[in-house]
Amino acid sequence: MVRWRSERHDRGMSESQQTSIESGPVADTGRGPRVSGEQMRDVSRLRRSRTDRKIAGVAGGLARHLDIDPTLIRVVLVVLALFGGAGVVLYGAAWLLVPDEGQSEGVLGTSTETRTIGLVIALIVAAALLLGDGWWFGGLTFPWPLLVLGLVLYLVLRNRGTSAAATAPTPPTPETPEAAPTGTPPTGTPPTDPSLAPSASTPAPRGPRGPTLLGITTACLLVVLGGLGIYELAIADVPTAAYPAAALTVIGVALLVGAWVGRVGGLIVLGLVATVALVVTAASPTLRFGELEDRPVSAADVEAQYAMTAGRTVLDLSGVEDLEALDGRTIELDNRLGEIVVVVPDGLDVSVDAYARPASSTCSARSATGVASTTRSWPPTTPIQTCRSTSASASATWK
Amino acid sequence: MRTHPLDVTALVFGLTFLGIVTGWALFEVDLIDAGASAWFLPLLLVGTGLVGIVAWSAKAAVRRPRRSPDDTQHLHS
Repeated sequence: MVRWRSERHDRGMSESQQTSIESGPVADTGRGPRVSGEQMRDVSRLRRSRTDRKIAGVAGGLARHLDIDPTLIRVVLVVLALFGGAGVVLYGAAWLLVPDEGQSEGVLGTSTETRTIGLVIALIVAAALLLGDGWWFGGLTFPWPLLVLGLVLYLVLRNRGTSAAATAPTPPTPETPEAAPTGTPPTGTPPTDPSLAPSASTPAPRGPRGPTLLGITTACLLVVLGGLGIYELAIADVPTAAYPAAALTVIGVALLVGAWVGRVGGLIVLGLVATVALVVTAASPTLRFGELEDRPVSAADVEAQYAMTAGRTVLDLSGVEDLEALDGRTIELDNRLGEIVVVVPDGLDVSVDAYARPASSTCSARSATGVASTTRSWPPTTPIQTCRSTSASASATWK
Repeated sequence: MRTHPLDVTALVFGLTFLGIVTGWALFEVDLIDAGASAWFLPLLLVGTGLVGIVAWSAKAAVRRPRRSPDDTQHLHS
């Protein structure tokens, strides 16, 4: 956002020279020059690209507006989409509000002012989503999205710099070694090729040289991940996060090797992906889908925690014989997506604290004698429903 | 095995990735609790960052007398 602002000011200088190219088709639509203020006019010039589009040309258009690499915009949008959906909000808003190239009105057909206000609101919403999400790592409060975003930006900029530098001084190689044997009948040249090829190619690369480590690392990854899978099937359960953790270990070791030997192209990006996967899986320790049903017959059988990623969780306590032993117990039921049903037997006082995200959740409780139900809000936008059951058989359901 | 000049970026990211895995493993086997793990990542980042700064400085200091610092240019970009 800061970058956007500063770019906008920078562009103020070069705008006069580029006006004919940049806004040519726009100015020709009959609207004439925009009469609003300086910033207003800059934002209103934003168009979705027709030529450089993957979905709706938002990234391409924004990149041209800011005069930067569209890949950069796309990477940022994808990363933002992963964390709290900020990227989706930004893209959607731009899709609806920003006109196509050569058009003066967006999909929603708003005025320029409304469009600008809408985009600013989208930015604020996106910032709120970004800051509100991803601050966890085993209880750790840390701005993960910003860290990942920073790393990705750094890598993209770095790659862009090196690729631009690498394309410039590439020496013209006369013939690739493999072209000779395939294209022409065997001659006396192939034996001399191996000695020629290295000497011809050595002056070109400036940075670390040697064999690329991506291939061998990928092979090691497959072995390790497959081995872990076999271990899980044959011997013992492993947490889901062990897979990205194992992958990250292999990549980390490969990078350390690559610091002195070979080239590490692509490994860092692979490591970042594994890091994100580790964080995500560590936050929800087990990925379980389907129906989880437990009908314990004694208090000892009642687990402290029931976790489900998506599906239905049913905990039927009506069969528990030693109800007194449940006194003071806290049972956590975590169902990321789906329904939780708890059946409570007669003679058990239950205090239920339920909170659900997103806001669309309902809590209903049925009971023979009556269930007190209250609803309050926590955190500010998220409702928390408290169903308090006073004895009698009760069944509480959250959807 | 032939080595090349130190790739500081690979070194820093390699250490960071292994550090993250270590932190996760310590947390997973309950050697550190949530409170301690909150300290782990910032300290890890500071640590690997310092390693990177030291490695880069050492590399630049070694290189300067012999060659122009052209080789390290991609680290700035």
